[in-house]
Amino acid sequence: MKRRIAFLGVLAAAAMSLMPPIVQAEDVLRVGISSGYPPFDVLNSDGTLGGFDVDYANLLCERINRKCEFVDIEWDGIIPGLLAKKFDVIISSMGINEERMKQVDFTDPYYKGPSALIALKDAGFTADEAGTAGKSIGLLRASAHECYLKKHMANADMRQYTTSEEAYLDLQAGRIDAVLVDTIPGEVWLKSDPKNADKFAPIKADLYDDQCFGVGSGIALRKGNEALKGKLNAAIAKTREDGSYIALSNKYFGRDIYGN
Amino acid sequence: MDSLWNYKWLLVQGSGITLLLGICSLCLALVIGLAGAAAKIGGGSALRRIAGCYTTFVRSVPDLCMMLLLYFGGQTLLNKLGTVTGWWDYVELNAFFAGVITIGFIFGAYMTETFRGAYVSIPPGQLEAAHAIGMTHGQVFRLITFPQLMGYALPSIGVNWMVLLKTTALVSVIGLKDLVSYGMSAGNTTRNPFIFLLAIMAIYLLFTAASEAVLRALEARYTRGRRREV
Amino acid sequence: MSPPELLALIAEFSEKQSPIDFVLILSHWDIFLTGIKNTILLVLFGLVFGAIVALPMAIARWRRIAILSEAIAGFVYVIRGSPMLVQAYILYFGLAQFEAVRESVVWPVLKSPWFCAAIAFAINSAAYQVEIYRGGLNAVPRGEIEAAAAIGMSRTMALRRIILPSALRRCLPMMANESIFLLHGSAIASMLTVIDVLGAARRFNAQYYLAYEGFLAATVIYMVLVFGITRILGFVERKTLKHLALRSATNRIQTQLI
Repeated sequence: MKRRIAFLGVLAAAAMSLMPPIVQAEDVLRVGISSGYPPFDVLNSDGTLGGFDVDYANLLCERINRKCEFVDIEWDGIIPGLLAKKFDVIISSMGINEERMKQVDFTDPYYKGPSALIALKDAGFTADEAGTAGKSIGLLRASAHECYLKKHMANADMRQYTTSEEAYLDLQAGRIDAVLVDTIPGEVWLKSDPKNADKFAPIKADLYDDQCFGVGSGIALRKGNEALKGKLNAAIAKTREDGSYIALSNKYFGRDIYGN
Repeated sequence: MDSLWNYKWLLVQGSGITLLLGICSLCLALVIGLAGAAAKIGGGSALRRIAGCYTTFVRSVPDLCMMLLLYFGGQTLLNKLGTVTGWWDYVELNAFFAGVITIGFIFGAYMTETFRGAYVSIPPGQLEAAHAIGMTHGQVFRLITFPQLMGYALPSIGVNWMVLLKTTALVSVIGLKDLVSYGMSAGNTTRNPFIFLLAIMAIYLLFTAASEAVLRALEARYTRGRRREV
Repeated sequence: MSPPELLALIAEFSEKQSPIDFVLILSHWDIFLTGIKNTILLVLFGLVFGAIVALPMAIARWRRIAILSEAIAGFVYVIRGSPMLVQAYILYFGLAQFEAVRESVVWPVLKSPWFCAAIAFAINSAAYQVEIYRGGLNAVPRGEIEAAAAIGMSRTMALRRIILPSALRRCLPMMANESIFLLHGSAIASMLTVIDVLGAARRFNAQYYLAYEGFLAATVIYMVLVFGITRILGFVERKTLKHLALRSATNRIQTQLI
């Protein structure tokens, strides 16, 4: 049975790949996400997508009467993908910042979290320009952390990774001295394995910079899509009012991460 | 090993995508190769020059670079073309298509050389004889040139296919969920990339070995006539 | 119009009108230069160390040394039968997960993304070069080997003075091919965080959230690099294979006479 499912899966994926969806039904909202970012964006072992962003996107879709269809793409291709109309919105923990707003439009933030610099427990350096001079620091390519690093840790050796998991692998291997990540996923990573929590800890877990990280994570849309933006803002507000947001947030984090 | 077993269907699925991608790309490459060879052999000076530029370009640019350029640049170009001509609003150039087009485009250049070499190997006397007994150009191509062309080209097509199959690994970079991509995700999630990467390598080796076996069988069949001549 | 005004005009045209913001690309020439430097060094490292490893292996294969020869054939099969991307990943992400590797003497080398890429290239290129050299060795005419033995050269001396030079010269055209294929493969280094030409392009794109401008620049750079390599190797080939060209010409004349 399982074998048949896998075979059908291959066939279905093949058929889907072979048929370019030229006509888009109006009731589908194509959502760009970048998996490999637990607990927000995860590729499960059965090939399905999950995580807070995915579940929250589905909540929003329900409220605007559309069906979410997810497109998984590498992080550094996600804004180009949106601009090239590969999907209609990005719901993938994207921070609302100045540089991005030159290219895309954002809804209101749907959560806000600080950033953290995670290193070995006895690393013995501080999360500032002097402390990180000459240290190799890994971050996600095309993330807001690049802006932060260039601004506040200008003399560090920046290593850009395609997924944050690759950066963690290199941190564990000792190839880099620290990773600069969002605090919530960073802490999830630390807790995911006792070995991580034994060896690593945040040097500083409350890094803020409004120019780089902005007012929080929002949904990105192509510019001039005011109607959809309005609907999504209303939907975000609705999830706050009807308690579905808090329920989801509690499920993942045991607390409300909205933060505004 | 447990983790590998848990993700086995993901790897099977990835292998299916990889094979399908390889076969689609091969078909495109064969078509481009035949057209390119025809242009190089029988085309006018302009056609020959275009075919020459094409093979030189492919030889000059890494496949990975070309793939990224086409996936991101190609979509933008496609959208602009649609807007300018008004023919379409949006046509999806998904990772699978971008992969097929790029790999087909790259190996079309190698196939061009393959078919040109094979064509040169056909004894010209045969073509002259065929024309002499009154066959039309179409008949000559269908009955004399094409069957022999495939026979002579087969070994080289086989080599190209095996290189092509390995090139499909690069589509993971443009986000297609192929064997490498699924394997890497699973390896990252389970914190055990080594075992998954080894499995991916083994699967590719299996594909190579199987291709070689099929190729040997095909070659034995298509060159039967030629061996008797000797 | 004064030069600064002209420059400003060009910059504005580049940003607003031109489909590609070439001024923006040119203003980041330093990162692309780093990329070019790394790409060239990586390819050179791969070719040279590949050759150092491949040559003894090719001789062992050629002499059909028992067991060793089969082991080398197996190595060549595995490397040539699997994608270089996967090999590089194994070396970079795969090995690093083991405590034993991280505490071994090779870790300082494997720790560096640059050296991981370089070693992956050297191993991959070695497998291809073994086959190239073996082909070259097999192509050395029997007469040359017999002549060397007849004048009393030992096997090693004959190998060093007669057979290898003759074989290696025959390999040059294939080596030109291998150099270009390795250059193509070297783009994989960008996946291991190395800033090669493609890595520079990705970093540039990421900084401005651009889709393809950097890749276009990288494409042009690669074309120039391949053009340069082809020219240089063509020159070397003409220099070293002159005698062969002459001889094959005389051979033709002789066979015609007969």
